[in-house]
Amino acid sequence: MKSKVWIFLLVISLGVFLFLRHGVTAFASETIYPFSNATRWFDQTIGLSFRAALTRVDYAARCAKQERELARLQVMFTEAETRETLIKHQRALLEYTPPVSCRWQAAPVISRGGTVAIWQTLRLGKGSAHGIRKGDLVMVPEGVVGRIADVTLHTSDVMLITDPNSRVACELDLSSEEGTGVIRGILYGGGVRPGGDPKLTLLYVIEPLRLRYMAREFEPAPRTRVVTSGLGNTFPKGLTVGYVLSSMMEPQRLSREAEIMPAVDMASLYDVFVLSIREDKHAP
Amino acid sequence: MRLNMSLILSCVALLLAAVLQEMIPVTARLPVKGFFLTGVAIYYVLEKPKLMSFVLLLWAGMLTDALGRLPHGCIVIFLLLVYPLLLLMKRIFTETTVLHGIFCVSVISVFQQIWLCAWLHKAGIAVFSWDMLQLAAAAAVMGMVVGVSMFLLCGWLERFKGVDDRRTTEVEGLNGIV
Repeated sequence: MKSKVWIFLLVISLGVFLFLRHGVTAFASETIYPFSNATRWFDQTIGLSFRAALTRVDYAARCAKQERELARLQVMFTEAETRETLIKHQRALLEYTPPVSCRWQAAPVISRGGTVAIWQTLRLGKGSAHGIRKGDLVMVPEGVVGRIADVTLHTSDVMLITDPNSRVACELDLSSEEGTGVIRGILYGGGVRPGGDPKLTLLYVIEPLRLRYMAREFEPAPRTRVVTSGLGNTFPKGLTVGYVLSSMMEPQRLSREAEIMPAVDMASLYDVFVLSIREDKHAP
Repeated sequence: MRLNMSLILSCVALLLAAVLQEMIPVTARLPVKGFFLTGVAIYYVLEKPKLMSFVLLLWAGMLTDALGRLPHGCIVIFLLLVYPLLLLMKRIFTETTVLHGIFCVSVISVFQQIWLCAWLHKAGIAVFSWDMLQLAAAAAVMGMVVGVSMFLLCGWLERFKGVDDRRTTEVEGLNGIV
């Protein structure tokens, strides 16, 4: 009787493996997600308090600093609300409807690197049930994190800009320099490099990002800001991606490429913002 | 209707292993994931009947592939290749202890890491390189940790199974072997 159960399960499993493989990812993610969420909550509450007690953090000083920051943000929020009301009023007067509407929402990071950590991915604790779609932009205040690569009902996978398969249309932020024009390129994910002498230690020991196919005549200064160019309609224009470390001619000497340090430390992300761009012109 | 506790407990073990494998991030000092799902699969291959262990091995591989966004069958095929070797180990070991777990999981973790890098050559790691050797060493260390933790966890979960419901053959019964 017992072996019949296992034979039945074996047949079902082989069937799923051979024919229904696309549903396995969503099923596995949805099954794991409540436990990952619970583990994250435990780490963020009890674990954090425990670690803070061990490291003897000066709680009073930190708390006072956070309160000051909160008060400043509240003032800024009020100002932003006033400006938004003014802009809405002016738009109504001009009968202007913004062509693209966006929606921001915060999402918790429930896993870094998946189950193998070969790909540069994050798993978020929000999915299609919260309005997140494949291709949505993921950001933090410091800069771009990546794009949503896969979505289930309650989880979504982010392909980081450090992933070797990531490509982002970028340009150098040279607004202060006159006469240089726009220097554009394509930002390639650096991939991983285990061991050795790492320049960057983010989610993994990674190679710096590479901004390729730039104009060969212009040599960008180190620490020049790299922003998204908005070409290709994947990312909006002007979002910070990283900073130039160094640049050199490509081997064919037809264009220049630069090593880029990402603006975001991927290993320290606990919450991110997902930007959902809606093409509906009449959306609020 | 009596519940099949082996099925439930093995599902719990796989679930816990999957959560651990997802949640524990890689760091610069130990740049590999612990293959907890593989550890659970190895425990059941060494400890349980062939049919049950084969199903659980398949599930462990499918879970790793699915949660890691790996190409279809990457880890499943690896585990199926390793399965005959584990059966051979089962014949060699008279009993399954934590030490056997450390040895088996450590060795197989190294091969799994190499297999992953070879399969996902786009990730930028050459298989025959100094980097790969360092990665393999890290995988071996992580495999030891995984071996200890998963064999202890699975052994602990076995306590909840209650009365052993193995069928005894007539010969065993006549000889008083239960």
